[in-house]
Amino acid sequence: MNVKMKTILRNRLFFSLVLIFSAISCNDSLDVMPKDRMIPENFFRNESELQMFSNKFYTQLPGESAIIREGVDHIAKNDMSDELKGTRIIPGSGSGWSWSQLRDINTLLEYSVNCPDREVRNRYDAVARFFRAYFYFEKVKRFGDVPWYDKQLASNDPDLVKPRDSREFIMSKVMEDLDFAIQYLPAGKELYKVTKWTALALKSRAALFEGTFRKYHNLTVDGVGYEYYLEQAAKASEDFINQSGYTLYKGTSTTTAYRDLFASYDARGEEIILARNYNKSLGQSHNANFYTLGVTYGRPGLTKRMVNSYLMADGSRFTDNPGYETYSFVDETANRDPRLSQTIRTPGYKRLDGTNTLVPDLLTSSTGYQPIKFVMETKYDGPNSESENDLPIFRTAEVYLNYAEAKAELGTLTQSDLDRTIGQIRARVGMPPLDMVDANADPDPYLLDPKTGYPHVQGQNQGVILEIRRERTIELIMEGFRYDDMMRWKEGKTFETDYHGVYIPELGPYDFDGDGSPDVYFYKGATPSIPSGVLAREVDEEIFLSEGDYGYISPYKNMTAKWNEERDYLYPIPIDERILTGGVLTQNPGWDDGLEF
Amino acid sequence: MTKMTLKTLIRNVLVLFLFQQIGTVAINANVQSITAFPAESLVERIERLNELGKSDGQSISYNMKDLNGKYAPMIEVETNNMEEWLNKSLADSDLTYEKKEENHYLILSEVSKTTNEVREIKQQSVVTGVVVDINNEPLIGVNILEKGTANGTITDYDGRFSLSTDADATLVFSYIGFESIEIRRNGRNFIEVRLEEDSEMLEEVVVVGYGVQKKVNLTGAVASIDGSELSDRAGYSVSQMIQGKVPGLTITPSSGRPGAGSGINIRGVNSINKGDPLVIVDGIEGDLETINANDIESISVLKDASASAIYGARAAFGVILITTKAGEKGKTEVRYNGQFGWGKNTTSTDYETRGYYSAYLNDLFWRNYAGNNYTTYTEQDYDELWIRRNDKVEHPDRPWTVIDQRDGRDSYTYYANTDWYGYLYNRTRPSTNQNVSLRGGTDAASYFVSAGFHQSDGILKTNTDRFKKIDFRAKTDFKINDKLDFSTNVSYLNNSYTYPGIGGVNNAFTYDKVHGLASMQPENPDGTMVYATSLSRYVIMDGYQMVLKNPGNTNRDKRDQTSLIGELTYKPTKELQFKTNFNYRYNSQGFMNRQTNVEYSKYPGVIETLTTGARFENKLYERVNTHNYYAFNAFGTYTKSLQEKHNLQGMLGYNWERQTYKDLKATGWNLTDDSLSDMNLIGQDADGNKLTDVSGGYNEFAIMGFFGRLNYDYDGKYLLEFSGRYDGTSRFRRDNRWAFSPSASAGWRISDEAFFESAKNWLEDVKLRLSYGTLGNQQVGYYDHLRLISMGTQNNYLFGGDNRPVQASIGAPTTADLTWEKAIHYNAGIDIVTLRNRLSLTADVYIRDTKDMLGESVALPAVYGASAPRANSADLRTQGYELNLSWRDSYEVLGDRLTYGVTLTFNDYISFITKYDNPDKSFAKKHYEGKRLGEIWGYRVGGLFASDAEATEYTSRVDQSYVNEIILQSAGPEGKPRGGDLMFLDLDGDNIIRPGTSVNNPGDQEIIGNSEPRYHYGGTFNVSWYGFDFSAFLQGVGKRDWYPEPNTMAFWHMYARPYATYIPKNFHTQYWTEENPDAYFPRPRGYTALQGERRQLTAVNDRYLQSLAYLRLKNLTLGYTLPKNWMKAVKLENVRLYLTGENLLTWSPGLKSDYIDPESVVTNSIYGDASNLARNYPWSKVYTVGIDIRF
Repeated sequence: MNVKMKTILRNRLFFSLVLIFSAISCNDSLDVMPKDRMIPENFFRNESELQMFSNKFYTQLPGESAIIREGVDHIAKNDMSDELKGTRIIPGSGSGWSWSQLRDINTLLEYSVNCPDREVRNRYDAVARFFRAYFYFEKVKRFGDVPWYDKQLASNDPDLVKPRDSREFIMSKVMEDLDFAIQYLPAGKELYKVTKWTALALKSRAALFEGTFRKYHNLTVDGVGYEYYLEQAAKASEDFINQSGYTLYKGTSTTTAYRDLFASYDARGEEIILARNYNKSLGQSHNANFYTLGVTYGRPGLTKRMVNSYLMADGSRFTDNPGYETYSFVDETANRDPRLSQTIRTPGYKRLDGTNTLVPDLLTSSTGYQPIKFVMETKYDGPNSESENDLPIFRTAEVYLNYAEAKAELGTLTQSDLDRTIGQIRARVGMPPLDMVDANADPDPYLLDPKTGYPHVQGQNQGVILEIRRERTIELIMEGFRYDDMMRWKEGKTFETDYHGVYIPELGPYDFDGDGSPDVYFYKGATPSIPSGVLAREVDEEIFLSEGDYGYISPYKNMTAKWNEERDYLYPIPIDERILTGGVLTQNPGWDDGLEF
Repeated sequence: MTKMTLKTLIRNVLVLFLFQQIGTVAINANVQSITAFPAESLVERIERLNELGKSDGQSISYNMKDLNGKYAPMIEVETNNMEEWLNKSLADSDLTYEKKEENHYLILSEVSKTTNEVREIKQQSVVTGVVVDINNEPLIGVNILEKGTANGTITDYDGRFSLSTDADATLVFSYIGFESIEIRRNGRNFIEVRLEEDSEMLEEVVVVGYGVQKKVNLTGAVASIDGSELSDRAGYSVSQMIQGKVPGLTITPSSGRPGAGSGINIRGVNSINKGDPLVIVDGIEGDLETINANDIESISVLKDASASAIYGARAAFGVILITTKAGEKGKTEVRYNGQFGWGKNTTSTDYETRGYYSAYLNDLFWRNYAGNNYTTYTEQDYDELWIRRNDKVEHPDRPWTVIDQRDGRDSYTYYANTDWYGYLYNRTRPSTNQNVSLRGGTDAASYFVSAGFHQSDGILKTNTDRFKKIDFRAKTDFKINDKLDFSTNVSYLNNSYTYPGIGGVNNAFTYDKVHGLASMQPENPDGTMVYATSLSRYVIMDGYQMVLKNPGNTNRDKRDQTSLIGELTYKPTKELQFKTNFNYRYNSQGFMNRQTNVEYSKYPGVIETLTTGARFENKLYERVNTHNYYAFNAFGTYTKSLQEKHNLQGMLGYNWERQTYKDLKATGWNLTDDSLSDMNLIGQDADGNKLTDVSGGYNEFAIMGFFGRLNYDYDGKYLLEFSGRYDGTSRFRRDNRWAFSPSASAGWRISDEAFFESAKNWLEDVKLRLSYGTLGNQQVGYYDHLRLISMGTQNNYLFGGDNRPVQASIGAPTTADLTWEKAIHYNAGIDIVTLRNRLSLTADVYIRDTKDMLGESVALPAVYGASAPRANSADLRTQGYELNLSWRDSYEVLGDRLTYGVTLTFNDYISFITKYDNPDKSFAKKHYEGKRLGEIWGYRVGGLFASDAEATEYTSRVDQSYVNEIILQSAGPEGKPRGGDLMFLDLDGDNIIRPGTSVNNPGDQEIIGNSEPRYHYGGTFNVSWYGFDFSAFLQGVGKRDWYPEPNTMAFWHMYARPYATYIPKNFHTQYWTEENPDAYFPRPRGYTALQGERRQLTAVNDRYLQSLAYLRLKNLTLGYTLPKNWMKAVKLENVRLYLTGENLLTWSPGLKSDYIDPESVVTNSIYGDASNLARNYPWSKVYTVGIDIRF
């Protein structure tokens, strides 16, 4: 090897070593940025990115448990809720005091400036503000006053410890956000995305809540009383009714229209403003079938009081019938508002795809008034959330009911207002219209009775308000409205009523469908010999009757409701949050967490 | 120090050890008449002959390299003639001998002899000389070799020699026990040589970070395992083989599945976050599970900071160094090791198979909650079950499936006695392990090549799951010249696991637990599957038994890994050495899950198809995960001795690594064929849509480090070591990225002190060690310092259409000052070797403070709206000790040496939280200052109520409703506490049973146990005699508590879910009834152990607290090495046959279940929460026969 070659080789070796070290020895080689994810500064630049980010906002909308599985005073289940039993405790944390959705919303609002297209930006700002309004409306319903934030908080932000803003301040912000949303959201119909019409419907709902809450709780906050909100509710509802083009779903017959509205694989777009979409093959399903048909899961049943509130098919009141209290199941379910047979099993009931008639199953319904709303064909019966029919979140009938109620509470209701709203709802099922004069002339004593109705309703529209409430409760049952309604009407005390099911006159056989052969056998002591196919229930062991050997089926054998008027309309603030803020977050009235600051 | 020197040293130590033993043989041999020599290594034989020759002045010299790896056959001779012994000993080898002087013999290889003869023609002159020791005593039999040739001789009785060489030849003088030296002749004709005793030869050498070190000079806590300890073990998992071998090293197998990995931990709880040791294979970060046990030369475990600081920020919690075998100069040795094994469950599988009892018990537990029966069996049905209860197989007169009117039509009705476990699972499962290796080389190049194949069948009976592993390794070393070495190390691994069912084999052990009553049948008489029945409202095993049987459900996990290492060693001078290596590794993991629709029949002749849901839809999922790893190391070592007493070694180096991970996942639905699985087959759904889902993922990190070590010792007596590393990682922001990890240690060999002289003849070595060091821990997420937006599929909200929407979500906010977690280690140890090298003891005590752990972040009000950024806010202290005691000895018994050894290891540690942001010691936070990790808080139970009256009376005084959730919801008379229910003690006297909020206000709870393991121990006993060898290895944990979690059906059975498939035999005698008031389990009641903490069995209490302490016979091996003279005929060098068993016996008296393996319970251990649902793939005991052949 000659000298020159050696030099070259040595140089090359040296050169490559230098190369290796310079390539890998500087700090830069340790700056590794992610290649499969984005950083916020490089995101939110166009419609697609804004949409993908806003998709997550929808998850704060209610699902199956809040919609179908509601159980307040009108539906009894395995267990009475802590709210009704009066056994709510002050939680350590969580329990509705969750703020992560708000953070995401404010993140979008902060970074949407990255999008140069002003129109697109406004549209997604509107989506974000719709959901911020939804978020705060939920907070106000639950806690009353809450702190307002319209920015992302840093971990050292002094605003982390901030006193609660008044519900007036929050609700005015909610209205502001909704007005923005109404202005900038698209005006086309979209079944699964929020639109201008969803924003109007939410405004109608939220303003009605706030207005009636203030009216019945006798609240004026920061100088603002109830009238402003009721006017907002009426106005938003009216705009919706006049401009949106949504109507009620009429179906093929008055005896199936109501049922089919909910037993529809895809929501009925003519009425449903916003639906939650379910599709089992995409992993989203709910348990409507198994919930109403399974033995261990919920065992829901309408209460006797709820069933009593359905009018007769001719519009007269069932509870005006003498002896209605002890009607047999066959008798009490005959000739009623057709929605009763489209809400629970009544004689002649068949599954959508069934040929056999079925009677209520006392194993799966704790009262005997077994719900069928949302129940689909038998192929969805399995225990693992097999149902995939869409669930309604906003629908036109609610806006109608909101409108009638807001106007009635304001005292500006007219018969024509009723005709274009409740009249339509009743017409769908073939019920006669609601007559305002008749209603006010003869308020229903059953609905005024503190044990069965709404004793706080007063004034010239007393009768019609009671009828609007009847209508609302029947129409919107199992859609998650009842608890909020009872709160804003300040009727929590009524929860302390009797929880009853079907009336059983005596031990022995009972015929649910009037076909002459018994369906259930109630007994005490030794198991009787009974034909196969007949369900035997041992009284005081497997089932309880209100009077011992006879009476109403009592779903809550040893549970009683207890309501504290001074405390229970709002939820407590979690203890940890009170400690972390050094008491700057005050506790709601009546909730004693023992903390002193 | 190169690998070759290391090997030579190890070998010499071995030779010397044997030499010492032979001394005793020889004395006996002289007294008796010589009759027999056992088969042994040729070196042993020659030394034996040298010993025998001592008495009449005969000696043999040899070149160790020629004899290495060769065996001397067993011979019988009735003579004291040295030449005859030699003739017979060398008979079958390629060696011969020459008689050099009267009574002195030199062993030569045939090859050397020839060249020797050739050279003699060219020889130029004769050199003579004498070899003496430092006391000027002549040394007899010293090997003298002309360097670079095979020309050599040995010294005679007077230490004299004579050899013909070139005039400028270099002579190499070597002698066992003395340091070899090289002397240039420089034309001289007489040379006097003085050899010095080689003190190093007495010492073992241990692999440490970036080098090797004499064990005697170690100042840190380092333990090592020799590869030979692993070669007898059955199976393939190195991690499971080293369990219990090293005190302080804890191995936690993740499941009993073939191919499952293990958790590895050194010295207990490292961090409340992640803290795994670093595993280095041949100098490069690697993985224990990918190494073939047969390839391992040695394993070192670096336990304290001083040993591991050289690896810096990845070594905060210890290092495991694996060195694989390398080539060796010499004749090629071929080795084959083959094993065949049979596995069985370690736990009982004897479940209730009588339909009557199964239905009865499930109905009972259900009824006592729900008020009605689980099944719809009528009284007549029960009669049918009763008359069949003893039919092990179906009796022709009493069929197990009958057709009866149910649901208003003909329905299958079952009255069976089904053994579901036997239906679903194999009770024995075969496995095999085959390994072949070649090893050899010349002066210029050497090589080691090995290949292994492993296959084990799993437990699933139909479409049996199977694990396969193929591995290959080729290592070569080239000597380019005197100063430059180049070596390569190539390895390849391929493994695959195929299994039936849906993705995740553990689903089988989850779904099978429910709704499989023995009274039901898996299949109808016409061969159709059973799913829904008219006998229960639920479907059998949620349909999983059908899924397991369905040939369309196949899954495969596979892995391909190729690793290439190239290393260049440059030794410019004797003192200086540079090494640089580069590694590239490609690792690809593939996952495939395929499922198809399933058919079943509920009514005769009516077949229904299940097409939807996670278990039944027609779907193919594939995932490919690719890792690319690059590593570069360069380091130099300088060794220097000054004035013969001051020994200095310095090392400096640089390391750079980068790894990328790329993920690709695809799912397609509605494939057109059930037996084929490829994305090209995606068809359409009922609406004509093609359904697919695709996603990816990419991660990357880079690290860089500068490291150094300085060792100094004075005369081998006073030892000092400093080491450190300056580390940077891409996982932190620029300004927090770099950290320095320094350590220092010192040792004092007391036994070398003058005052120790008198004890030296029985106490050979005593050394004290101390070390201290700080290490950073970079085990955090790849991009934890950034706030990222990820695109993902929205899984909980749809907007119509046929696809899930895309959702962009933003990660939680981060803090700027996130930084390293630090581990500060203190270690003190003592090493003792005594009783003539037979007993050795190593003991260490240590404290490790882990500081600035990422604790719970400072609690922020919930309005913050995200999980608060985590802060470096928590400290932990772990303290413990370790002992390793070993004894080796041998005796002459009935004509052969009986060699035996016992090794015991023991260690213990406890961990405390020393700092945590929880001033109120609230239970709402995970930890609090002063907490001992693993604490179990629970209630005290005063027994079971003897009667309803007692229950009513007690609960009227003490409100138990907090823990009686299910009881109060139960139907009818069961709706209140009754006889056989638990009596909870009111510890705080407030008449209400409820948990407290903090340590200071614990309510009715107190610390009832601890879930962290204590007192780890292991013991190995081995003995060999007349070719037989026997070893037993026991391992265990002395103390550990476990409260069975809610829904642990293997423990709670029907208390968790009142429709259990597996009911222990005779369970009906184990629960409380009025007739059985002393039962262990309470009143039968379903759901009381299902979830939450408010049910009487989910409320943690002392009555059902289990002890997981166990003692396990991990391994038992019996081997026989065939006599050498038999081997001659078949030209084999060594043949060993062996039988070995793994996990043969387990003793765990504190665990009140025969159906749970104590090791299986804690596999998902998260500190302070050491439990899971014990529904893993079952653990196996494995019986193996093996053969090991070398030629």
